[in-house]
Amino acid sequence: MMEKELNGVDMLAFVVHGTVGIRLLTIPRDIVEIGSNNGWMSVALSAVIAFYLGFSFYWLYTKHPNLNISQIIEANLGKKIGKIIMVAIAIYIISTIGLSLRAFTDSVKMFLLDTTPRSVLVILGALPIVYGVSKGIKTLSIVLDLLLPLVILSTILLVVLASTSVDLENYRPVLHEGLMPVLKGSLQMVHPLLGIGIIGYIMPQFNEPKRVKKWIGIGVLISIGSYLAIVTLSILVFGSEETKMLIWPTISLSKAIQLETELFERAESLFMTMWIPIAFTTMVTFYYSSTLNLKVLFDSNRDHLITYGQIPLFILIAVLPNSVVDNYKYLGWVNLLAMFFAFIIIPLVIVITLFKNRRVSNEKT
Amino acid sequence: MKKRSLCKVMLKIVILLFSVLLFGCWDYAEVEDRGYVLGIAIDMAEPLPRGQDDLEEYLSEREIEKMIPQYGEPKFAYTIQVPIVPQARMGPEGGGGDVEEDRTWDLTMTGNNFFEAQRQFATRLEYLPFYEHLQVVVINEEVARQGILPVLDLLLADHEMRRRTRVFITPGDAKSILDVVPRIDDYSSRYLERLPLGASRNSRILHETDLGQVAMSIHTGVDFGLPRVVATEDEIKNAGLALFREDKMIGWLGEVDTIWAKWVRDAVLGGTIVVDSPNEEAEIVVLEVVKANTKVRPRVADHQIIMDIEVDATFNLVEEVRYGKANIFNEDYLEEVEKLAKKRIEEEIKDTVSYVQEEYGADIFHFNVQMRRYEPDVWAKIENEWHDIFPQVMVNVNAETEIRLTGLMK
Repeated sequence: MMEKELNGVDMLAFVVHGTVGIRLLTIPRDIVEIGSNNGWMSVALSAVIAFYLGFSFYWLYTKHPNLNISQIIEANLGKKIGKIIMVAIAIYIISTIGLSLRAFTDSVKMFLLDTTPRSVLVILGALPIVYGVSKGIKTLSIVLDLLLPLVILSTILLVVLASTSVDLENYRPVLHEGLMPVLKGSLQMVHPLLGIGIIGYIMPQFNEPKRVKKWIGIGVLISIGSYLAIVTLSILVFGSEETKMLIWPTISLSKAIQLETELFERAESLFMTMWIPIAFTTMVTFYYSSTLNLKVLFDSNRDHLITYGQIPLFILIAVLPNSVVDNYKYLGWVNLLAMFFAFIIIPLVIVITLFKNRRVSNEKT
Repeated sequence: MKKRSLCKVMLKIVILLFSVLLFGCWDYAEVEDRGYVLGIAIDMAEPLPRGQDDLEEYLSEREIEKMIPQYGEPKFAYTIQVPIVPQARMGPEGGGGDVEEDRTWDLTMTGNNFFEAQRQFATRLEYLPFYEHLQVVVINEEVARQGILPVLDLLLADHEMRRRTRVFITPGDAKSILDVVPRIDDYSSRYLERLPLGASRNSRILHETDLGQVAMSIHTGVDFGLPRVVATEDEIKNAGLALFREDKMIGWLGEVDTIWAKWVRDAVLGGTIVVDSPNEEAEIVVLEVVKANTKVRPRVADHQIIMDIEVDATFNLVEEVRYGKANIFNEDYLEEVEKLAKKRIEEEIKDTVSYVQEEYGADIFHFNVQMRRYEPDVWAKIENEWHDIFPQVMVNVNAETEIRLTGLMK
């Protein structure tokens, strides 16, 4: 039985940090490649996915109090299928941590520390993540709370500074190619938004689970607001065609800032230093989820072994891609896995839970 | 137990060592060890060197500027401008450099790609070329006519480059622009970089012409203009523009036509327009632009594309070159001037659009962008033939003008 150490408001930081991570640097291109200049609508639409995911995890917990999502899956789908799905979850989470770590080190190497060896950046990026998780959920929650204003402030600062370069007519034509590209574009958001799955693992640790609901909603709004601001700005500043050409549009956005006064001449350095903790917090939430998932998978309570045992795996994944192109190809595959969980596994668990609940209530009557 | 606590201590020491000793050390570079590149000039490779008449002296320089590329023949001459900081007159301490001493070191290298050439500078420059503070890129006309994408590719893709670096075209040697010794500023690149700020006073100057704009134009497939610069030994003049179709320069647009091209593009920040005086023949009235907004909306009627150009302008009446003594503090007089300004704006815009359509066929007014935004169905059908259609596009201009202030004299 875990100690219930968290208050309702603590959920806000977990939701925002779980969903706003390293993909913030590339998401405008990923979405605009499909949704073109209507890509901002794809992000707005993805709020539906975020609310669906967030409240699905919450609802499943209310039906299975004190169980985390891996335990719920096992309880609903049986031990064998449950374990298979947990293996898939482990692959998904550890790959996400590894590939995010790689994307993070690639961008740091490109813009800040170009001669520092990649392996050193990967190891130094991994150390605080491991340390954070080893300190337990309460410490983690405090760190995330402290870093939450950074996500909001960096987004607001970027919006304010880059707004001097926007062409408001770049959003036209509206829906000329129909709604389909917008819908397809919103699927690109599934991977970053599935970071909300942290809810499924930390719900048992809230002392008043009912108060969490409100903070899930606010967290989703902040996350979607941040993505929406960055994608919309990229479209308004660069136009959709140019955004498609930029590998890291969000960093290019900060490089596009130039005020007439000699201020922020190297704004991207400022934003890179802000994005380092943002990337760290997302990876740390994934790592925490992974640890709890593996504990259920192996029916083990050996915290240290499970926490530290994953390190070689995600470091190996981080150094595996040969190039930045390779890394984004693998991230595309992970996005497919995310869609599998979001649109097949979670609905399946919900349906089975509903079915079981109905059977129980029928038996009672 | 003891062993475990010892392990913990060791781990902490390792982490501490890592964070203190390793992070950032590889990238440590002293500010004074960097060769800050302020400007880049790109010319054709021959003849070398530029701006030196004494054959005997420059033969050695010719040799040093020559690079044997790994592949192909040298095609371009790349020049970088590095400031000689101790010679700066405008330093934080108030300056003091010798006027006669060079304040910059302009190094040229021939090659067929910029990256190889700029790495070749390491054979002559003891400081690491550093481009994050690059102010300007000047391209020679001949290079521009062959296409600017090959010479700008690295500047668009490299992480050290900034999207806001300004790009200029010169009919002469690009290096001669960097060789200018400015009267006030220390470095010609800095001097040139600040010239477009004058666009708030004079519409003959293009101002939104940086690497980012060039990249957007080329990637979006729209024609565009880049500012024209010419120089003497100590002065640079920035007025007029070079016209580009795709990435190739196709001609020049004069200073006055540049004014009206900017009116169509809704890019006027300030400037003047001169109209006939309602009073006497041969008298003129000078108006200062206070506000200028232009809206371009496409309309398709009977298979004809018409661009409706709506101009909304506010002026101050600043000068009347008059030979009589007319009273300008008069409502009827101002109304007459407003009508004359309206007529002039409408006529000049039509003339300029028609001149560019007939002479160059380059859509620097971005009518195609407006078609894509407001008539996407029609655009989808004609997108590939736009350059054939553009010269036939009709323009319908309507200007609303207003005069606010009239100075201190009646």
